[in-house]
Amino acid sequence: MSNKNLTIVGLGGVGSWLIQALSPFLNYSEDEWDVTLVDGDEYEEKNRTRQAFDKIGPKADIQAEWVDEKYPKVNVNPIFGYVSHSEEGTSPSLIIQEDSVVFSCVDNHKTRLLLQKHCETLKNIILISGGNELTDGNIQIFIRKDGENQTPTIYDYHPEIADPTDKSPDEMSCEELAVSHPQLVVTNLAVASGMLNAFYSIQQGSFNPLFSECYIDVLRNESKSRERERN
Amino acid sequence: MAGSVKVIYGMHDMEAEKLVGKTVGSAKDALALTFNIPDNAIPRVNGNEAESCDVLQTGDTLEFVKPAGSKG
Repeated sequence: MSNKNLTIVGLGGVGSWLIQALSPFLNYSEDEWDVTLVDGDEYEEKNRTRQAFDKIGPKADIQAEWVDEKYPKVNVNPIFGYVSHSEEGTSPSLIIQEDSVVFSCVDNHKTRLLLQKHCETLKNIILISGGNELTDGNIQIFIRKDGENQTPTIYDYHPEIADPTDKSPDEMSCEELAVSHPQLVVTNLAVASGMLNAFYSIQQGSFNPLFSECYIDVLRNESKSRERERN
Repeated sequence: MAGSVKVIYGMHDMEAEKLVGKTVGSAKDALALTFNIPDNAIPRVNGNEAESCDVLQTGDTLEFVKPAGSKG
């Protein structure tokens, strides 16, 4: 039986918690999983307020070491770089394979759109995309099966993703990259948890593609899925 | 009974009798402060993109789609 493929793009506030919670699940599942971790950033001391890591250094390498040490059944492959068309090693077509699961844990809509657009070129793909503000966030699921979209894209209901005004990290100057916006660990963790819920629901065959977007709000202590019709 | 319109914004939802017969634009004006709806939120009625001048009917679902979280 061939291994299953999974890619996590972004290992910051959402992605770091996600990989550390997902790893035991994958390690003890019946399937063999090949996991690709992608991030062009490095963990710094200041990230400890809301990100899960035990060493300073390149995020993809640090998380890969952690997974390899604790959950050796998971085959993990780190890629240091930001997803971009301009960098050969980190273009979506090289890091995302046919018939895989993609967790988009990035911090900008431009990269979300790039990942979504690539997923639309594949025959079978599951894209689980998360994002947050200070105390709320959302999770969007895009599923394509046998060349047909089973859900709306992540931009069909969201013009801010369809036509992003932000920059991807590879377009930013060092000064722009150094600017950090306030975020809460509880919100990052809630989004990561919602993304894992979606993954588990899809794996179990119980996911309803009509409800492909879920909002979470940590102040209200609520989450709610919303109906999303395909165009 | 006059019926109502279901209004959604992100986590929020409510049934609003007073919005039956009102336009989408006036509904937004009435709810913007309560729900903290931003100017750029796209209105959809029963899943379809709606114009400000569209009139709401009994049983309609009006959603102002909350922008996706940008950070992570």
